[in-house]
Amino acid sequence: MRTYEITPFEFDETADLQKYDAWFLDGTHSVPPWTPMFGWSWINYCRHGMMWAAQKLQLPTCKGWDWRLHRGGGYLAVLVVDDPGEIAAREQVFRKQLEPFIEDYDAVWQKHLDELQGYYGTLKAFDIDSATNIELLDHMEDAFRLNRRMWEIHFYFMYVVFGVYMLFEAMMKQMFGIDDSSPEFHKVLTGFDNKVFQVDKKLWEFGKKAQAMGLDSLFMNNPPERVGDLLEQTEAGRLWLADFREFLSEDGWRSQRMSEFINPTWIENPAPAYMSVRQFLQKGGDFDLERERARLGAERQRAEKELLDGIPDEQRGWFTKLLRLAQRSGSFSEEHNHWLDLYTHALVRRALVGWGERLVAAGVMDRVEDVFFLIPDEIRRVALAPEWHDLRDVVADRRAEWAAWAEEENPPMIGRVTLEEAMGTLIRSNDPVVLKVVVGSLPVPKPELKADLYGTCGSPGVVEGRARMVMTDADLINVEEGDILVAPATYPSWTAVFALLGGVVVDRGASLSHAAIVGREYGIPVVMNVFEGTKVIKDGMRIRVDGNMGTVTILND
Amino acid sequence: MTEKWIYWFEELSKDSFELVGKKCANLGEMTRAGLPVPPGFALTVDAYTRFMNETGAAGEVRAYVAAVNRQQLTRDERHSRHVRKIVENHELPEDMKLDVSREYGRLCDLVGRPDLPVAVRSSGVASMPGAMETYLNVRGDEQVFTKIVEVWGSSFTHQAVAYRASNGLSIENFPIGVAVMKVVNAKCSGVAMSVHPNTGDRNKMLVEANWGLGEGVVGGAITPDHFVIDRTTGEIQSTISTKTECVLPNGNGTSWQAVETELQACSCVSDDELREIVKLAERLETAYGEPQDIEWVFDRDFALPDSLRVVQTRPAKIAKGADEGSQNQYLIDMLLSSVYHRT
Repeated sequence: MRTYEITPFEFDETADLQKYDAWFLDGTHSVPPWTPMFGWSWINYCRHGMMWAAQKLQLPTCKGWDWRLHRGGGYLAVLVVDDPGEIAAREQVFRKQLEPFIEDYDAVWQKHLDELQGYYGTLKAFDIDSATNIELLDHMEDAFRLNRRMWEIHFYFMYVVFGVYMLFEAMMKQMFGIDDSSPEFHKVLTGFDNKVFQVDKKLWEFGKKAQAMGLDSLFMNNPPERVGDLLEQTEAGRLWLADFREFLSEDGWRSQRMSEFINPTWIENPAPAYMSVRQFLQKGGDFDLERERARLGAERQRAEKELLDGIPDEQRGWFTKLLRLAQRSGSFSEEHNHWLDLYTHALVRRALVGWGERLVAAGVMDRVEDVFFLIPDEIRRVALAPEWHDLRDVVADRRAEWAAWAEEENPPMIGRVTLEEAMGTLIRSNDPVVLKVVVGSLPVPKPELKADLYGTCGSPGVVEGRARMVMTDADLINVEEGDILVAPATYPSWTAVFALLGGVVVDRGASLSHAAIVGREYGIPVVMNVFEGTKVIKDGMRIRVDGNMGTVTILND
Repeated sequence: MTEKWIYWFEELSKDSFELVGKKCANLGEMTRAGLPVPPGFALTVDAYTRFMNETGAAGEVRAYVAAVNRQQLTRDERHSRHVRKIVENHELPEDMKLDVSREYGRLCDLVGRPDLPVAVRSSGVASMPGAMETYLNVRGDEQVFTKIVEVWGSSFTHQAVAYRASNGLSIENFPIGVAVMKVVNAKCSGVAMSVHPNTGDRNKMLVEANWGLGEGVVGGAITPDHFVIDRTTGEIQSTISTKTECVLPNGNGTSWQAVETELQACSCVSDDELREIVKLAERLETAYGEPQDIEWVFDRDFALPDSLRVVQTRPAKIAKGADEGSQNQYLIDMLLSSVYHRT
């Protein structure tokens, strides 16, 4: 059978460089390269969600982003609105669209969260094993529809929330001369609970429970992959597991890589969750984050009061509103990963794994994971009479391609202008999502500081310690208390490890990136956007991380 | 009389009001504070007395006033008109003319224009708004001499006389100062608030402007150009309106006149000029220690930054504790102006 292109959005070197000067690789989400199924879903639904939100809000400056798929990498170009008349007309609607967010952000968020949780409930309740192929096909379509809706909501919020955050940054700078490299800036934004931290807290409690039940050495002395089997072998272990499975049925809808379907969820393979439990046991003591949050909360209230006392009565009203909204921005930025991307992708994966099992049983392909090398239309084609089809060749071709993609890094930009020029265009779009997630603020080398790496401040403070390279999940097990994590970026499922860390250095990131937000909540220094941290720093080196200056210094090899 | 009777504004201060009257003292105070008021000089109140005595006008006025019933004098305008005529029938004495001519010549030299149009304004020791005359576009020695005398005569307008009568002041002897100052050759003018009046945001400054003289903005008869300037970033948000009419000098006064078609939809203030206004407002705010509401004008006869002149400044009134709805709208305004726009 012929291998079709994955999507009509395959990058076309000739056609796609006519309208656009340049396409940027989404390095945060599409490195390493996506499987065809995930690439298909991202290019279709994430792209749709951005355009839908930009249209719904009538964003004055942008109609979302166009996306192309190139060797498993997502490439984006901003659809800038240029015509002043069109901008003015869009502004009028946009003003109205902003009102509900400003009047009652929490109500707007809750309404959309309720909507999504309704879909989650329905999809989770679906019994895959007893479903007919017709029912399972419908279930898959429902999961895709959820995926599409999730992206609409995702950007409906993100375009507003990140814009508010940018305004807050600008006002703090103008009114108080405080920018986001200052500890004072973060003091007024930190110390809030959110779903990600609630999950961490439960994991910490399971650690305490394991200790009380005499299971702690089992966690500490065995690789996380074996912990499940070993727990099954004792009475105490089975009791612990029963509770843990209940926890997972609610909060385990996540896999280690947020933007992929191919990695198992915690429900399927709880090893990463066991890893987190182990990290908390290793750390010992109380739940640091909770104590830290109480401290940060009290400090925040003091800082808020100081800030508000320092401005004239007339300004206090709107500034307080802006401050509250900016605080929500931080929470949204972190929490949405759990409620939106991770949860939805886990449910889509569940439906696809259901099909993978059936197609293997029918002899269409050999392995359940092969389903991630198909596209939805290929499943639809074979779904109702699978025994008449064979997709092994398609899967084999695509698997080979996928393996080849991973061998050779995708270029950060494809274009007919220089990277600087293309970056200039991107920055001039002033698109909040571009600036906060994709570009980040570019580090300014300060030679007078005589550091080895110059980045931007994610979380203030200074720390010295041993560098621990974490390129993938598998490396997390090597982290010991006080280590400084050095990584390309950190991911939502890694939060528990922050309890052990002295500091963090990441190659890329902006002030609303995961590493920055979690680092601030744990009160540890984070330096971001050093670009070459994972190349220059070697595992085991002693380094000094200065989150106030945004520098990293190598102390010895 | 050898006593000095003409003072340039920079020689005066707010304490000079008994010497030259309130308006001149204020102009002196502002000039001294480095604020760009139009250049000019003041005639002391003693100059009025000297003129009245040397010409004999004082005696004539006294005689006429003594002959008229006091009630009649304040009721019947014909009496005040007659007294004004008495004053205006006398010419400035020759030696006083020489002094005025010398100082007026210095003013012309300063601007670099012979027969410079000047405003001749009354400056009473007590405030009597609008009771006495102001003459605009007075040109050349002879006109200046005449208008100085007419301003003195205007101390006998019906309103001024009535005011003095009801306040128990002397009717026949009421010395006033006179200001002789450059008439602004107004390109455009308007108001500036060094604080956003709706939100109290001190980082935002509001400027409204029209072509011509300031009455064209202050009166609210037309929709002026509207600018919001971010004081930190210098970013300017402009709303340009179609300005069909503006106030321009006409004879010795002013009148509404049509704006040339091609200028109607143009911004009447350039970005560079707006930046000068911001600098001025910041200086005024520092000098007075609180946000200011400023009337300003750009004078075609000078180059930037000297072209910017202050007409008046006073503490800005701001809406306190704006209601929630306007706070929300303000936040939306700011999101649009500082985030959701192309850079």
